[in-house]
This record gives sequence, C-alpha cells and structure tokens, in this order.
Amino acid sequence: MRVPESWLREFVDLDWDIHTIAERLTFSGTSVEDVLTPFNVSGEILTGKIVDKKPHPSSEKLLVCSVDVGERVYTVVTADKSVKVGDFVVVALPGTTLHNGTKVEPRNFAGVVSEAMLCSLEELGLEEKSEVVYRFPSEVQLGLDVVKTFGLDERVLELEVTPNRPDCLSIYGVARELSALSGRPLKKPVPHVVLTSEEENFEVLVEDEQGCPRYTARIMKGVRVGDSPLWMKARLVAAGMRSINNVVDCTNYVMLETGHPVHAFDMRRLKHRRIVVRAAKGGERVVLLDEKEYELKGGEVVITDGENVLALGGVMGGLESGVREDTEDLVLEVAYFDPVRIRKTSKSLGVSTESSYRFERGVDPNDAEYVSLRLSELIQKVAGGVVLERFWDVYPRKVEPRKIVLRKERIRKILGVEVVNAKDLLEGLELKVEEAGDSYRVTVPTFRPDLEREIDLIEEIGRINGYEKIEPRVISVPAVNVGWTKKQVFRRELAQYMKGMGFDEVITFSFVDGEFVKRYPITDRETVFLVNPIASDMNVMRPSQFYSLVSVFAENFKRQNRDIKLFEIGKVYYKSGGEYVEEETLAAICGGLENPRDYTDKRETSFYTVKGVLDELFERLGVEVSYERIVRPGLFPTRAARVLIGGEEIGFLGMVDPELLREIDVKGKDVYFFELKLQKLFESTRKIPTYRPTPRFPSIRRDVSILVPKDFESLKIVRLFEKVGGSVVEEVGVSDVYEGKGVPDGYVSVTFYVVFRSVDRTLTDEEVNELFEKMVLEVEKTFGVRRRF
Amino acid sequence: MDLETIEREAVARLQSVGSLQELEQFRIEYLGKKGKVTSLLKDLKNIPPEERPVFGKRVNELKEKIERLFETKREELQKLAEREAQERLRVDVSIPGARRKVGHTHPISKVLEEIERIFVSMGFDVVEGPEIETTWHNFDALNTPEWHPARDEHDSFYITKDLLLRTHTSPVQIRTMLERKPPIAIISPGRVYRRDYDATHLPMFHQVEGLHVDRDLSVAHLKFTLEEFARRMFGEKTKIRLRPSFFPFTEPSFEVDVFLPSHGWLEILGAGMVDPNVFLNVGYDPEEWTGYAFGMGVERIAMIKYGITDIREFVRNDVRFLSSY
Repeated sequence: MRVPESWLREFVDLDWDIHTIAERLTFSGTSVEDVLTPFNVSGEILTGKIVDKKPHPSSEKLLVCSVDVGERVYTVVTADKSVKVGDFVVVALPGTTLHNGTKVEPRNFAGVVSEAMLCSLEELGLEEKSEVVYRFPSEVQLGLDVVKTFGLDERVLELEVTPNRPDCLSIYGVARELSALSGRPLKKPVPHVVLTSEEENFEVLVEDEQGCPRYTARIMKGVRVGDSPLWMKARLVAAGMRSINNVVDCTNYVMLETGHPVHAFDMRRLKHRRIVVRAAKGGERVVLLDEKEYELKGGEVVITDGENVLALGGVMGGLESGVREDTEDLVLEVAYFDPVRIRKTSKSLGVSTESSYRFERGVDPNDAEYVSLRLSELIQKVAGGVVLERFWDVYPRKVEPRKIVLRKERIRKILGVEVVNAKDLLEGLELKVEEAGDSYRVTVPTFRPDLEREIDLIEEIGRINGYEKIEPRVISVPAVNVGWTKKQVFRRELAQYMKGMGFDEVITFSFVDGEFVKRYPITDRETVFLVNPIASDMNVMRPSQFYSLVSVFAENFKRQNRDIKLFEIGKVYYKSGGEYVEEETLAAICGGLENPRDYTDKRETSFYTVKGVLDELFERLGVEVSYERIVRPGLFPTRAARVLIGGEEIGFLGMVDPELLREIDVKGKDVYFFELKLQKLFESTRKIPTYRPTPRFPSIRRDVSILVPKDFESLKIVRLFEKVGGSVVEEVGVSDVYEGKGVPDGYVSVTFYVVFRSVDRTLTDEEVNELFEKMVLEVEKTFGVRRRF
Repeated sequence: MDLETIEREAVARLQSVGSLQELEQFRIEYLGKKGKVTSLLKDLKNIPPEERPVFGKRVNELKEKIERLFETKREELQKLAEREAQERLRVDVSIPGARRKVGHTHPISKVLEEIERIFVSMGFDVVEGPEIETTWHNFDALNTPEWHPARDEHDSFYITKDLLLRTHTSPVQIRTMLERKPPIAIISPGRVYRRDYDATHLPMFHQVEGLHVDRDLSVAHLKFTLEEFARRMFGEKTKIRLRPSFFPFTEPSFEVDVFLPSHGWLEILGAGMVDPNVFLNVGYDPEEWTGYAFGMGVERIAMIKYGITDIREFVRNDVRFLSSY
C-alpha cells in the first residue's frame, strides 16, 4: 500500500515529519518499508500558453513556438506538430531535471535555439510512455509552479499491511492510525453533491445474498469522459496506479481513499435497465477489463443485467460494460462481497486485483452510502453530470457493530503492564467504549472486521500504548523438562564421529529428481511425489540420501574439488501401506585421497576404508552386525554389501556405479556411499559398556598370509581361527590384502594376524607356535587354500 | 726406536687421524698388546737392571701421555660423529605439517546447536515432529483456516490435498500440546518448506520455534526470554525491540528486531502471545493458561553471524565453503 504524504495530511493535521510518521506507524503494526519520491522532477517547471507557432526554417519535423509563462515569452522548438496556438502546456526552464534524469538546457535545433522545453507526462513521471506534449484540458493560470501546485514533489510511504488490517488499505484508515497515535483529530471529508430528483426506471436484484450481502447503485447522467486533472493523475500515480480516464480515475481514487473498491458501468450496456447479482454457472465466459477471456468455474459472484455478465463481482469489471470515451450515463456500484467467495474466485481464476485484495481481507459493509456520495461528488467535480437522488440499496441483513466485553484484569494479565488510559486508546481508533466497573463494553465499528474478541482489543491497546513500555520479567520453567533427548544426543555424537573420520557435514534438499530415482531405484520403496514441485528436478521426496549425496558429490567434482568425504544426517521419505513414512538415516559419500593434505599418506578411499569407518563405529556403539553381498541399481555389482543387525537390514554400502557417475561427469574416481537407518542403530546401541579387566600377562602375535580365490569370503577363516584357537585367542584380524606380483590371477593374498593371550599365565613361544600351526593347517584343510608364507 | 722418536711419531700420527676407525688403528699400533709403547715394556728385560726403574717410569709416562692424547682425540672425533649423525636426521621445521583430514560441521548445524543449547540451558525441552504434515496441524489448528489470506504467505508444497510439507515447525507445538498437559516449555527445531527459491529464499530451510505455556505468562515474560536469548546468541550488548505484527496463531503478534552493534537493528524473530483459539483447538482453557510462542529462521541467523550473503551457499555444500566452519 502506497500512501502519498499530502493525501494523508488532508485527513489528520500532524506536526510530525515524514520520518516520525514512518516510525510511529512501524511501531504500531503498520510497517513502513520505504519512503519514495515517485516523480523525481525538480527545478523551474511552469504552466505556459502557446501564443505563436511557425514552421522550423530548415526542418520539416519541427515547430518553433512562442510560449508565454506570464513573466516572459520563450522560444521553444518541439517535435510535437499537434501543438496549437492557445494550448496550455507545461514548460521546463533550463536547469530543470526531468523524471528520466535528463537536464533541460538551451539547445540549438538546426539553427534555432530552443530556450526551454515542452513536457510530456512521461517526462514528468506521470505515465509510462507519452506520444505528445501534455496539454491541460482547460485554461490554467500562467507561470504556476507545476511541481508544487500539482504535487510532483510528493513523498510516498510504502506500507506493508498485515492481512488482518483491511482498514489500513486506505489513506483514510492510515490517517486514523496516526490520529490514534498522536491524539490529533481525524478529519473526514464531507461530500457535497448536487442531487437531482429525476426518476429512472432501474432495479437491483441480488440472488446470491451469501456472496453479495450488500449491493448499492447510484445513477449519474451526462458525464463527459475525458482526461483527469493533473492533480488527480499525480495522486494516483504516486499511489502506484495508472490514469485511465476521469471516471475510472475517480473510482480508483475513492478506493484508495476509503478502502472500499467501487465500480462504474456504462449504463447503455445494461440491456434490461437492471443489475442482477448471482452466482456464476460453470462454463460461463466473460471478457474482463484486462482484455482476457475467462471461463468461470461456477460459484463466482457475477454482476449481470439479467442476460449478460457485466463484471466479476469484487474482482474486475467486464470490458464490454466499462466506461469509454463516449459514455454519458453511469451506474455506480458500491457493494460488499463475501471475503471467502472473493478469495476463492481470485485463486481459482488466478486474478488478483486491488479490488479482490481488499474484499478478501474484509471491506466495511456499512459505509456504502458515504462512499457512493463521495464517488458521485468526485465524478461531478471532474467530469460533470447530474447525480440522481435515488439510491438503490439491497442489504437484507445488516451487519451490526460487534459488542465485546473487555476485562481490565485481562489486559494486565496478557500485556504484563497496567494501562490506565486504555479507554482513550481505543476511542482514538473510533471504537465506542463504556466503562462498567471491572470491564469496558466496547462497540467495534464494521470497518474493523479483525476485532472479534477480547484478546483482539488487548492487542489494540498494546500496540497503541507501545511495547517499549513493558519491562521484561524473569521466567521459571517447569523442572520436569529434560532438554535434549537421548536420541538427539546420539545423533550429535554420530555427527561428531563422522567428522572425526574426516567427513564434512552437508545439508541437502529433501526433494530430488524423480527421473534419477526412477533410473536407479536403490530402494524398492514407493516414491512420494510433490503435487506442485518448484522445479521438475526437485519433484519427489528422496527415498534414500543416495540421490542427494551423489548430486552434491558431482557438483563439488565439477568445481574441481577432487578429494571429498561428505555425510548427512537427515530424513528419507516413502510410502508404505498407504502411510507416509519419514525415516532418519546417516549417509556418507567419499572419493579421492583419504587425507589429501597429508603428503605422507597417499591412500585413496576404498571399499575397505569405508567399511573400516563402519566397523569402527559399530564397535564403539557395541552393535553386532553382519554384511551380505548385494546387487542393487546405482551400485557396482561386485562391490556392494548390506549391513544387518540380527537379520534385519539397517543399511548398505558400496561403490557408486561408474556408469551413473559418467552421466553426471564424474570420471576417473572410485566413489563410495553408505547409508544407515538411525533409529535401528540407536535402539541396538549398547547403553552401558561392559567392563573388561586390563590384561596382566603379555601377548604373542602370529601372522600368516593365505592365498584365497577372489570370490572367497575371508571372514570364514577368521571365524575358524577363533574356533580352533579357543580361549587363548584374544583377537583375529586382517593386516593386509594383496593382489599383484607373486599372486596368481583370480587369487588374493590375505594376511591374518592372531593375538594369543592367557588370562592367568605367560604363554610360551613353543605352545603358541604349535597351536598356530594347528590352526593354519585346519584352515588349509577346511577351505582348500594354502599359505604363502 | 727410542722413546723420543716414538713420542714424536705418535703425536704426529694422532694429528692426522680423521676418523674413529683411524683412531682405532692408532690405538692398536701404539697402545695395543703388540703396540709400539707396549713393546717398549717388553724390551725392559734387555735393559740393565739399574736403569730399569728409570726407563720403566719414562715408558709409563709416555704411555700415559699418549693415552691422554688418544682420549682427547677420541672425544673430539666422537662429538664430530654425533653431529654428523644428527645432521643426517635434520628436518625442515618450516615445512607445513602433514595434515590428517577431519570433517567440519555445517554452519546451519552449528547455529542450530547454539540456539538449542541456549534454550536447553533455560529449561526448554527440544521436541521434534514430522515434516509431512496434515493441513490441520500446519494451518487450521494454528488458527489459519482454509481461505485465510495469511495462507498466501506460506506458499506450500502439497503431497495430497490434506498433506503438505510443513511450512513452519509450529505444528510440533500443536502435537506437543495435544500430548502433554501444561505447563510446558519447548523448542522445536527442524526443516521447513516453502515454494520460494532465490538469493534470499530456499525452498527448504530451518526454523526453531518455541512455546512456553503456564499460568500468568505475559508479554513481559516473552520479552525476557527473547532478550536473554539474543544476549547469549549475539553478545552482552544486544538489545531487542518488539514491532507489532500479525500471525494468525498469536495475538498480540510481534516482529522482534535485535540490535547488533555491527549491523544495527535486524529483524530476526517472530513472536507473540498464543492465540486463545489455538488453546481451544488443543483443549487448553485459555482462561487458565496463557503462553507465548516465537520462531526464527536459522539460515538468516547464520547469514548474519558469518556474514554470508547468498543463502544458496548452504545447500551448494562446496567443500571449500564447508571447511570454513
């Protein structure tokens, strides 16, 4: 909402400057976003009269005019050949700055010096594009300062009005706020209209009372449609509207001033001398003032003449029934439409107008008579014509002002402060207040549909009184609270662990590209689609973090980041048995060097290093897991496994399919990914670590390298070692995996280590050697493998 | 060979010795079992008995002298050898360390944790809820009926007609109030979604909302809590001010500006007293209970705190960006 300063000051006499006004409004709930100067013209711009014109001696395209500005006559060259002697024009003298920033200087046009310049509306900032210089519609005094007289030095408050305050969508309403804040009286314009008792055969029928609780019409005859006076143009443009013609401009002017949208019909277009307001039928068509044809869905409030749709009630007038150059007789509509119905219409047809914006927030149903008179007055002033006394008003169920009881105690309880002048504050807003002991009886005028309850009145008192007056008071919070839950703490510890392992935390969108999911269905879960995605590649909720992390990896790769380790703790989404499920997971992706800034470590991330990250985690959490080879779209088939806890899959890890990576321009890098379900992991975590006494006797370690076929699962050897070795075997593990020179094709050399220790004595080399030999022989025999050394 | 000659030779030899090996050679040659000095003592039997004491004494003196010289030389050479050994182990202390990769916390997580920590220390519980919400929890229960213009400000992503991605974490407040009896004090952090994507808006971002319900809570308490939060978050010199505004679920409602000496006044929070309709929707008696609620955008706070100018950095996740936090 744009509020021109001069217009505002017409209704309330403030001694505040514009910045004080802006601040007071802002701190009472109507936020002033900016103070604008819409015209930006300065210097000497005067009214003048063309007293002589001659063709230019050497250019056919130019005219040489003599322009009288009262004190002297200027020679002005113009390219607008439609200028006539006797025209009243706007003359910019040298030194003037025009709207587009150009400075006016004397200028030589092919031998003739132009001493000043004739201005168009465009050059004054009053319209988008002008073809001709501006001519006043009628005589004006010469030598007037155009900037001051017509308000081209206007400053404008740009307001952000919250949706509960339709009353502030008007200049007068904003003035009312300032009156309440300053204590200065509010001045309401009293319309002076000459009415004629002439009768007219005309009727108004409202069939859709729900959609249109009130419809009023007034008739004017013999108006002359034309250009609006300059002052009116200036105000409308300052308020952010375009000037159309004097009648339409009056309707907009009244809407801006009162907040009540109104409409003028050309009476000739009403076939049957009547207005019928009804709900639209589906499939009806109408061309509106934006020159577009709309097909109605049914249920919109339409204004008809009983046959044709004249307008979309409360939203926009029809092109056919609008005011044009040759219109003489008018039907002036001031109506009240149901906010929800207007909002539905506006949403379903995708049209939002100044009118619908106000109606859907709530317009005063009871000011129709006043608004109708004010509109008639203005039209009469700028376009002439007679106003019929007869006022057609269909208002079957009057909306009564609301009465609310406001308890004084409750004001204190909510605001936390005593407000002694609550009554004055409310009365400043034009509410009627009667004091009745411990409470006030408040009558709320119908221009404030937002004030429905006691609490709404308390807010009014609070904001006019000012919140800076409230002193903070210490809180005490119930002691039963626990702060973070164990799960929340667990999640943070997981993140800490991942960071310790070198993974950077990322946050990615929960929606991903549905095509990507379809091409590489890494889970068989049912995808959740968005009805209205913001982009086609963000159209489904991710069923796995795979898609998010692969994309972030590729994005980083594109930006020349080559050594990457990323993780995210976030949700995945899917549909299961008709229900929408959100499940939290820990996911990670990595590729490139393990420690890119460690020149002593040249290792690249591999399946085994990633699995190491998981195994270390599971050991710390005290979770027993097993791994099983899997084949899944998106993962390289011979390098993927799932992770199980007691037979239930809690996640998977694997190398990202290089073919997929090639498609997104990630080349020459092995990339690994894993994802774990957080809830299951959390539940399986050992809550209290088991105490194991620190060993007292020394241990002995033995290593052996065994050649195994590539498709052999070495964990079987570990298990057999443990079994054969018995109680003196403390730990069995792998210390190397080697392929290459010395190892036949199709085989891998896996080096196992065994740590022997007894809890009650020192073991001897001899007994360990003997036992270890037995263990290795057993392995060789059982699996048909042989040791390398 | 007479003693003088041996002594002269030995001193000269010793001077030319340059290594511990040569020195050992020297020792064997002069002081060894068959060395030149030792041999002199063996010659003793060829000396007349009356001269023997004198000769013996002189030989011993010579032996001691050479031993002394030998010892001095040995120490000298030993030191030299140690220095050479140390030189071989020299490192360049100016070379940057070989650094192990340690991951970084995403700035949003960092700020989230900081916010949570402040409220947890003030006694609030941290409560979470679903992101796929019913329109009832997201709007209706929060006093925003279907055709309310305020819904425009939350352009939402829909899953079905009645399910959407929550546009704020306020529905968690509804869920909590439906589950627990007052008094309650909670914050609800999490992801929220609105259909907006440019340099200042992400379609998915993070919020922390808070709710405190008890008997007799007023705007004065709201002011205390938020001022306390702002001070702990942004520093002791921080001030706040309330600008009246509108949210359907609070009445009165405020935009809360925070004053930072480095930035001036910044709009950081929305807040207000819980609207009685919200209490009625969850079965609390608004005559008995009052409360205040507040909410803030985590990205915005992170941008202010770290001077980040493009909100899209947060989801771009460039590792060079991440490694600054």
